[in-house]
Amino acid sequence: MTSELRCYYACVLAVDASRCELRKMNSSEPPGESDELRLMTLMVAYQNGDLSAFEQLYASLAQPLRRYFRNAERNAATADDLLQETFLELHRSRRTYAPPLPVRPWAFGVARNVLLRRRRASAMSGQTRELDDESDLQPVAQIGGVPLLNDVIDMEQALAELPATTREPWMLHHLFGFSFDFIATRLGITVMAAKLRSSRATKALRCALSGKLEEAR
Amino acid sequence: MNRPQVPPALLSAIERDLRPVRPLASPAHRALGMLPVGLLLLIGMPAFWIGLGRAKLAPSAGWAFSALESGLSLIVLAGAFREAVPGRELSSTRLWALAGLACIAFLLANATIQSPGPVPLQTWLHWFRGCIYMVISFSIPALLAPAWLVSRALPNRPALTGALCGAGVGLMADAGLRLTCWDGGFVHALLAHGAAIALLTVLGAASATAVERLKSSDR
Repeated sequence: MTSELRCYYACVLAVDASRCELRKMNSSEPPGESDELRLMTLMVAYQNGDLSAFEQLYASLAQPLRRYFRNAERNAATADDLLQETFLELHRSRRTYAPPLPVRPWAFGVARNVLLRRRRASAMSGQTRELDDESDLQPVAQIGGVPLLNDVIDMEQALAELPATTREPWMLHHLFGFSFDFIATRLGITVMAAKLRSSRATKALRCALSGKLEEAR
Repeated sequence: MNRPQVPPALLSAIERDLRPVRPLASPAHRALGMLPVGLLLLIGMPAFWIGLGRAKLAPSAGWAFSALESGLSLIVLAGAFREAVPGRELSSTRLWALAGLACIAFLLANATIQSPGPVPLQTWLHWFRGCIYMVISFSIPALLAPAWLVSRALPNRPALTGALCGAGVGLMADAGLRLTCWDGGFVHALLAHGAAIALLTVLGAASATAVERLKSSDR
């Protein structure tokens, strides 16, 4: 096997491994019915004043929400702030959750509200969103002690370079496993537009990642 | 992988404030709660003109159409209440359906309206302004009720939610107004009453956005 070919296979394996890790980190499997049922039961208990139910809800929802904020804001500290704000807002608005509806769309709806409010406040105070340096992106690849993979960072960078309008539908579908119907409702666009934006994002990511692969060769 | 733990500061803040809450009623139930406001607007305007001794009431068929318009406006309000809940935002198809329903309700109710005869331009303009004033003065207090119901939720699109509330209340007000409208012509209804509903839609959007801004600044 020539060194060039060996390098190519190594890259392909690394890309597969990084995709696998990303999938694990982002739990790309759509939430199952039993999980939703568990969350719903916890939410009802929380509405009845059970603190341990809140702790369990936090344990289940904190990671996906943090990922959502990290990818939306690309800043670890801001994402953590937004996460705290979201759980406070979930607490204040807990009466707006109506069982037996699924909890995740409601929680993400609240998260979106918090994010929009933050962006509005930033825009009003004249602050501009800073594009973080690489050091802010690295911890995402290290969640849960997963070894740092260059391809994960490449993926993060490629995602960060996408415009927010295409990145959000892509992430909601491919990372969080939501349907295009749900995404369209969530973002206030048509299903076709959601599919189109996600497809554009896939295309751009493929280009960006294949470019890196070429460089590696 | 370790399960994330609640930060102590957040946990203590939640613990301090934790008490049982009753979930919000469904959008349909909350819209039904607006029924008294609808009845008040339906009967209030004719009663106002009867009280002044200047009533020119519509025939009984007109009342049936007004009741239908009031009923359909409750569906628009139910849409607004649903839109106000995070994660339950209306899809664009449903929004178009609601907008279509509002237009159909307005046109259907006013299709049977009959003008007593040709009206001079000066009078026509006077009555045009009069109808808009009537709708606005009766509806602004009525708009407070859905605004309050919306503010208890957490709309991601406050302007849209408020606009739907404004349109719903506007339709309710039109249902009452058309029963005592002096002009009664279709063009008058379309322009004057339609303009009043459009104005209320804009007012609803502006007020809901303002309420959301106020709520945001409190947090």
